[in-house]
Amino acid sequence: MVRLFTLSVFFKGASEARLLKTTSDLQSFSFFQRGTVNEFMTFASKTIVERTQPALRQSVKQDAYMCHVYVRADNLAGVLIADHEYPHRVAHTLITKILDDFTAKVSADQWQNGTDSSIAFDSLPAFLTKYQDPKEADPLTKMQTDLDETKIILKNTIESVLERGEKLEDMVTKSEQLSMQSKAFYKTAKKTNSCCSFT
Amino acid sequence: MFPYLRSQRVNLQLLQETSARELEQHLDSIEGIKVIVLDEAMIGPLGLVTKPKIFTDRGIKLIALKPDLRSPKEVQNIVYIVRPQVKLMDQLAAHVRNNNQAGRQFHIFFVPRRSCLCIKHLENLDVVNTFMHFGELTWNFLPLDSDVVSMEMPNAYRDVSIEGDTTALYQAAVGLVQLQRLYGRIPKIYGKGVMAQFVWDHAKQLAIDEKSLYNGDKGAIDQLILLDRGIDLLTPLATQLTYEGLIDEFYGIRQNQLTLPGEHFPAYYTNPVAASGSSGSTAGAEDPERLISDSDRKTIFLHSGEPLYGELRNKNFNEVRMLLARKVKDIQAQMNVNRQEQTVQEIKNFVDRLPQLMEQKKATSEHTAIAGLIDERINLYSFNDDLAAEQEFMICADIDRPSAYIEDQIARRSDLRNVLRLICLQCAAASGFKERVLNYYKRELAQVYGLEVLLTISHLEKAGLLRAQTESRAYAVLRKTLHLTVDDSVEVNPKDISYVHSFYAPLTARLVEHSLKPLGWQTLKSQINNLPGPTFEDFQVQLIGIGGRHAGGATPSETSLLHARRVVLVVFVGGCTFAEIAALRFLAAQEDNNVEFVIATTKVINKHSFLDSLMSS
Repeated sequence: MVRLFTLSVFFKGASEARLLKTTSDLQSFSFFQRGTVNEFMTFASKTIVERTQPALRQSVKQDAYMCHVYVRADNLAGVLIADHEYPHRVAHTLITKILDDFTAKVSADQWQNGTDSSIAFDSLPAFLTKYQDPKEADPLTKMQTDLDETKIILKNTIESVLERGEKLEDMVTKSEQLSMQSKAFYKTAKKTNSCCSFT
Repeated sequence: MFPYLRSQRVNLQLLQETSARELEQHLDSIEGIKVIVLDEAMIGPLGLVTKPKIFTDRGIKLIALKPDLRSPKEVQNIVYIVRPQVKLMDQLAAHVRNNNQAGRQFHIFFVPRRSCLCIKHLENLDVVNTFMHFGELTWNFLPLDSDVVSMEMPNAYRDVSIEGDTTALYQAAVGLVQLQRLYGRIPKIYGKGVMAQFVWDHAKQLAIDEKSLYNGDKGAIDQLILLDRGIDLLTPLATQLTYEGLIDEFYGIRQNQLTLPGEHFPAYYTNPVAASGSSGSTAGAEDPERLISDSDRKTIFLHSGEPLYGELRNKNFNEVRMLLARKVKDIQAQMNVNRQEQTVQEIKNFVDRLPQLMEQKKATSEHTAIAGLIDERINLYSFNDDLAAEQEFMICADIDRPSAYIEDQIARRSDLRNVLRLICLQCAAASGFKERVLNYYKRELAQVYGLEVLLTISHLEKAGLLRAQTESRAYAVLRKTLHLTVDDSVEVNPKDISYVHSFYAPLTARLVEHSLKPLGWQTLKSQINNLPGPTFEDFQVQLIGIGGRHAGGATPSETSLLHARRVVLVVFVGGCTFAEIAALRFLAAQEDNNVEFVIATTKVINKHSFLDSLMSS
């Protein structure tokens, strides 16, 4: 099952990563597990940002999860935790998008010292929901799906054009019958005898 | 509509264009709204030469000539395009009387030549003054295919041999001069037979007035061979075994068109509503190529423009069976490619080839249906029994006695036309009947079919199909010397022209085959003289200088171009069959012969049409 679990925006400081905003969708976990899972995911995200160089993207496998991280040159980082089936390309496209959006809405001076409560950025939950289905949201995947569907429709159309006119099976039967009935036209059993005397 | 005419060295599309232009010029010289009335015999030939566009562009409607014809009021000019037959003049006269209004003008164009007899007849009927104009359309040879031209005169042989009317021969001569005008002088001429000699003598005479023939270089045609139908009466009576021959014998191909009941062909046209309706729905769609449409049955065009037909037409039917089965499998394979996984590029390539594939499918489907119909007819006992009897005659088995099979057929009172055909075939193979045999047949026929049959028999005797035996047995001798019948007949992938009748090579085709050899007919001199009529040879050389001296020895240098293929025009005076055409095409296809044929005939005939014309009064 393709699932997105958390989306977070960090600021990678000199010594540690600072969580600026986060959101999560932990419905697949049982109620009691959620708290633990949330903590774990936040910790994992923070660690991975600290371990990633600026201007770098990474995808790290962690047990059943995949952590996708993008640390920009200006030390703004985005982390996405999803399951293994979530397409990497979509994940990184989403991270880039979030970071661009964040940069547009939240001024750079807030990054260094902001906290979750001080920063006004509400788009994360919306993104999380939207991108639960990567096919719908990502244009490239969408195009691929559309293409595949179009191919199927095209094949069916071609089939129906080929079907036009006489059915191929009928033609095959008729022509096989024709070729099997071949008998030489030279009928007569009489040998070519020399006719009566001629001058 | 006529691109298939173009493919050879002698470009027959030129002939078609010249003929069409002649008509257009005549039509344009008449002012006002026109309607063209065609006699039955001209409807087909008109389609060989003109595109419907010529008439729609000028807003001209085409109507068939019927006794009770009424034309709409606003038409000012009624143009008749008819053969010069007196009995048609009666219809025309009645028509003129009924439709004569003020301001209306009547014109007649006779094809191929204005006939004084017809005009006199109109005088006698007192309507000659209502006709503004008696013109002519000098259409003698009409292009049937890229290598065949026909005069479309089904009764030529009958007219000459029974009625003594040599008009057809004269028109053939005129036609020959027309061809030389278009394609150049023919330097070397060979011929055999009385009618052939007649045609050539006239053509030579007419050509004397044609300056252009003698001033230029030799034209596209290297040789002319004229063959009188009377030298080989066996071939047109024998059952043809090529695909095209069988179609013609069973269903009749009229000017490259075959019309069959629609129920054998599944609905093909793009109208899905019609297709989903009645199951055997016929071709109701407007076929833009038909001049006068007749939407009840399916019409198929049969000429070399359709590649599948081009492949199948000249082959023995047994080979056609196999070829069709192979084609169907091939199409099936191509269509199955679509079912596999394909990339977008592969799908694109497939779609590009799709129209061609659909065309192939349509053509294969049509021909499978036609072949199926022929197969049904071939499997009948009557067909096979007749064929066996024919073949026994062709190998001269028991040829001098009344045939038990024919006696049986007479006793059963079966189709007179077929019985007469077999008797004439036996006569041709025996090179004439002994008197007692001929009298025996006459007696039996009269007893069973009535005394009227004796009249028909006398026609056949006049035409040379029934005759008494003379000293020489031309057929028997030629059978040996020319290998007219072969022992090891090969129907599929044949090496010899005898496949067209399974084991018998048409005498005319063998004569042509021999003429291609270095010595020509020299080696056959004695045997060929046994055939009726003169054997002749002639030259038409280039005139040089004012005094009209002939260029000496022009012929060897002109024909010694080793690399270029010889073009030989073979003229069958009196008709030829599709089997003979197939045999000649086979010869042309063989590299060694280095030859290309153009075949001219008064009409393409088959065993039925040949006898019909001789039996009718």
